[in-house]
Amino acid sequence: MSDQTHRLNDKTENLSKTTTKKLSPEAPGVLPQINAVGVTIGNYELISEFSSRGGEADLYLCRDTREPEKDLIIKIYRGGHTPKKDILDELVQVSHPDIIDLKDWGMWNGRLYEVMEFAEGGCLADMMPFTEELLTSRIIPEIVQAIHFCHNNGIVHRDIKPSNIFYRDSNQTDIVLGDFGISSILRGEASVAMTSGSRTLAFSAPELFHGYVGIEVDYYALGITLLWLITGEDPFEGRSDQQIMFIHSTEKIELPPACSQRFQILLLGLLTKERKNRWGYNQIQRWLAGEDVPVMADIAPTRGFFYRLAPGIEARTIEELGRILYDNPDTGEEHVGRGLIEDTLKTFDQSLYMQIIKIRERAVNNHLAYLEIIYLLDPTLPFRLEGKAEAQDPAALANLIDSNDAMWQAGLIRLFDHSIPTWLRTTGFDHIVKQWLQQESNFSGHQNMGLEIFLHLLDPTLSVAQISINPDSMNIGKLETNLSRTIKFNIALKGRGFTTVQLALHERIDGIKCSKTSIELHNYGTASAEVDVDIDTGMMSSGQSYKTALSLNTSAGQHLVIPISFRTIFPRYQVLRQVGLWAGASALYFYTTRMAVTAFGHKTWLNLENGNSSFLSIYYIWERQVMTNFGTGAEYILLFAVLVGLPIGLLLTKVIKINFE
Amino acid sequence: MKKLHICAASHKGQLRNDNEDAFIIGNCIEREGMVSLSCPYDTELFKQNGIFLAVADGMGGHQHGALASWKTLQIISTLAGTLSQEVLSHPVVAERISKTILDAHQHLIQFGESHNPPSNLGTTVIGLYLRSDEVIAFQVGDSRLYRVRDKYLNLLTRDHCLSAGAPAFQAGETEQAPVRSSVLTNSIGGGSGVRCTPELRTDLIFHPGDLFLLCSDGLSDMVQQMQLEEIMVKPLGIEDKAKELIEAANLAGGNDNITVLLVTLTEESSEQ
Repeated sequence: MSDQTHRLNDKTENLSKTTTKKLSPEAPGVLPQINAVGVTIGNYELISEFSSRGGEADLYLCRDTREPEKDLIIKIYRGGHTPKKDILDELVQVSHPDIIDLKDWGMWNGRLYEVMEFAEGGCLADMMPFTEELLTSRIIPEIVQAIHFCHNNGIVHRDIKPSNIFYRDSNQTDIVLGDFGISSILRGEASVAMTSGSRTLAFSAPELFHGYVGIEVDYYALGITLLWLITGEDPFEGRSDQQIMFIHSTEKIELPPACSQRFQILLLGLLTKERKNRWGYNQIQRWLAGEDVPVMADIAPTRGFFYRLAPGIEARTIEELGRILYDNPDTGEEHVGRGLIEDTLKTFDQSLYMQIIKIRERAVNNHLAYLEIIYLLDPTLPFRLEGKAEAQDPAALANLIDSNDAMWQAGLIRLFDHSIPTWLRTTGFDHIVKQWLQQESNFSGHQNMGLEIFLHLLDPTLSVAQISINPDSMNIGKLETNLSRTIKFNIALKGRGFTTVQLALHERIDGIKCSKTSIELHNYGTASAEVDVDIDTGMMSSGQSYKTALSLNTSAGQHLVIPISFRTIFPRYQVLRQVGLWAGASALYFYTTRMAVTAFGHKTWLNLENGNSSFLSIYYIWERQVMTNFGTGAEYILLFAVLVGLPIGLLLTKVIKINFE
Repeated sequence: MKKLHICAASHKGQLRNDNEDAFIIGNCIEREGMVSLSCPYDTELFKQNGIFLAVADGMGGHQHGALASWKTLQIISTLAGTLSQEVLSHPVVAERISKTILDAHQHLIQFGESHNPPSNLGTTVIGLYLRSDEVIAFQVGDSRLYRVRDKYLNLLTRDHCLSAGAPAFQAGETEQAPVRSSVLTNSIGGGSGVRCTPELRTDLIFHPGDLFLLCSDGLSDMVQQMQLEEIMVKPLGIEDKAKELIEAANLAGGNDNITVLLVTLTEESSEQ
């Protein structure tokens, strides 16, 4: 696919008989070039030949005999490949709108072939140069998606170059990236660019010369590709392979002076020699969105650099210095505090020396200076939250802080002592810090809330705190007047997070109030809380319906409404209870008094002759008036009143009590 | 509310009969005893005039060294008043300070030449100009400026003398005595052939909690940096620290006049 550059205009040229050109192999194990026009391979009929400069494969325009209306490309490899069936089958399965579709593969006469979609609009190498606007608006977004898709599928493309980017349609609107680079998969991960000549060397990231292949090589190749597309010229024109390798490894690649500073920043980010600092998918997306994305300058190699932090703890490069300072925070901070780091760097890298001087001067305390310095020395260092708990990127830090109470507490400290913002600012996440600083002052008294907000800045995919309430509605039914009643609600956090809940009653009704106006819930603290709604019917008249609702608003944006309704009624149970209690109590009094008087002789006790009024005198009236007239029947009535009235009164007290709580 | 605390003290030491050092806090020039001052920093005084703090170590023998340090500080102290006239940017202020020091240099040279017999009187100076957020340090000679930030003492100046250049503190180098040369390469006055090139630092930031120490070599020649740090980070008031510093220099021999000037900034919540 990579050689789909020169389409033959005159298809008749090769419409001759099926002949096989016998050419000497270009390298041991390489099969001779063929002319297979007119041949049918599998289901594919070869129509005309594409020129193939690479010598790796022959390309033909072909048609699927089952679907003859569509042109396809067949690529017949010359190398004696023994493909892994599984991998190729898998690649046929994978498809993405921004990548040329691999339709089929097979073996023919001992040669591997692959069949793929034919991009009618031609390749970008034939249309250079492009304007910045076109590149930014159309070409880069689609190419980046294609590269990202490959990476997500565990494939390093390794063949990104102008001649491998196409317009799918003849109207030239849809950009597609050439095939997954089956050839590189076939070659295996270890052998790289050097074998395929300077054509690919031009796009080779520096780490490839050390045998390292990672997804970063595609972004470097994209950088060179963009350089090529915007100028229309080979940036290495006239250079030898050795010179090109030297430029990739150590020289600064010259950027086109005509392009905007913003575009130059993109190129600088992509052409960063240190792969860990090179821009990738996220940075390009942010750049496309118009953000200012920092470019980590390449740190020059430091010959003869040596730093001893403590016996046996030594660094020979600047990055190693960052690492040993990170690994030994106490000693590291002391060395920073005493100015030893800049003293040593002064003779190796004066620019770093100046940066460190400025950092130390600006930092309000030594810990922040230490952090800023270690990430300046090596931006790939993780952030240490506490002890061995560390995170490599913002999202990982959010999840770490959210993992348990101790981490949460450490997160609170590290956020508000500015350690985390310092790390973010110095490692290219300034946009998060800016968003945080705009609101930080709101949370000086509400640190948990602040941390929760901050975690969402670190990881926007983090789930928000959700609450539930039980019961979720309250229809009390009838409620007697002159009583108070308390309804208990349990509000609980579902899952993770911290939230404040503001509580309020919808309708303001005298006699109804909520015990709290605000609660805080946290999965590592108080995860649930009880709230009472007190209803005092003393002020309410009977026979009325009341409706209100408890409304809950959480800081996470959740809104709940719990309807509460009841109807007031005449307090008949209360009246009955009072009557029962009074009747029972007085009957008990009379009955026991009578028993006592009967037992001990009432004349003596009553001492009526002296006209003394005593507690028994009421009883005297009772005996004179009632017993005389009604005889012992009254005695039975009394006994009945004690046995029935009291239990009724007591029972109702209990019933009402239950009813009200 | 930010509050500025200043304390300066000077002592003639154990071997000298006279004190040729001097210090200024604003317009107040002193050479014996102790002066201390605490005042709010967010006031008009510090926003407009600013304040000069400096230590000078005079030389030239007899009364001349004392005269040189005194006269130089007097010239510098008058500068604050003239700076308040207009809003000045950092580099302009630095320029004015430089010029004033050069004026003092000329003044001492002329005085020395007119004297009979001619005198090579001269002085070092180490000073700070504080005005709102600005801090400018100026130095001629081997008087030093240190700063404690957090718990670490850092030397912020390089001595203008022949042995200077090596870092003043090396890890592990705690036992050796400080080795110094007394051959100055830069001084105010000191004879007509002497070069005076004021060195200024305009990149300093004065954070609340920072503690600056300005001192003559009577302290820094006698007391190890580690010991200085020990005293400076003690939880003491600056008057006690100043006393301890002078005591330490005297205990170590007190070979020269000893002058220290400490200045720190504290931030207090407004309710207090």
